[in-house]
Amino acid sequence: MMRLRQKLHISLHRLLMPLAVSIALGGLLSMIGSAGNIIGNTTLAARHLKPIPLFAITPLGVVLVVAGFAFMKWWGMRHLPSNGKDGEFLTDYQEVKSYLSEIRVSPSSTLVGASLRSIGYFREHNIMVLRIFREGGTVISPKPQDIIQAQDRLLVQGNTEAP
Amino acid sequence: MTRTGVTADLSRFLLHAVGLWGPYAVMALFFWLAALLTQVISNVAAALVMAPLAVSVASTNHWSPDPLIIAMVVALSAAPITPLANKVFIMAIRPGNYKYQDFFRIGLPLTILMFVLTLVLAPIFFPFVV
Repeated sequence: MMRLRQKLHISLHRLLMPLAVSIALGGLLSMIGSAGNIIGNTTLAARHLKPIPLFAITPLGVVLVVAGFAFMKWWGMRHLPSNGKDGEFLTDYQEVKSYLSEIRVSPSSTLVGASLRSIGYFREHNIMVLRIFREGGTVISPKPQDIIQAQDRLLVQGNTEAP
Repeated sequence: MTRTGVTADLSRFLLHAVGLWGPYAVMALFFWLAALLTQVISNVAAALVMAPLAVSVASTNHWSPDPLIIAMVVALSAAPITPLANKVFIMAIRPGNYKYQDFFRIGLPLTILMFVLTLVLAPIFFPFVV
């Protein structure tokens, strides 16, 4: 699922909840679909009543699954925050978050017009610029001579202790 | 709570109160009891408490227990009011970076939808009168 998300550029946030809902609702498609179903039937059997046949619940289950799908499409998609494009890198993986960060270059920054090589701060703290996101395209592997422009977003890697 | 029988007593009391209003009222109550219980205790535990109740309530009233069982079963699976409702939702919290409010915002309307559908459809597939 995580791989699929990266391919489609949809945030995980929008995919996992519908996935979880469909898994939960799918449990209603047969009487052995989830633990509750089984216990329900075991109880009936224990009281010498006829258990509900395995697929008797299926018609109801199908209706509920379809309704759940329609609901998630209509209501869920509207109420699951998309996280926006910017939030993607910051919110996705907790473990990555610890050493990846994004820097936005403000127009008044002293970095504007400087090449990556000339920024001593990055070298001193072992900070590596992995990507430069800018209007009109992304620099996938920035080179030392690349010039930083205003409004760039830099994806940087460093250790968590770096100030 | 389950072990001491408090849950069962409470449920039995509530069921007794609405029992006079007919099978639909009992079924509605069953759905919401199960939906709320599964937020607090696991759905297995909730089923263990509710299922025997369903059977005894149905038999005292000479109904089929099936619609009550079905209402309970749907509520246990389809009530993600909080992520604690189901293991699947607990698993989704961290990678999805969800908050409780996200589940509430989506889960509560979803639960209400499931409730209405179950209340209407379950007695059609599983009649009260056998």
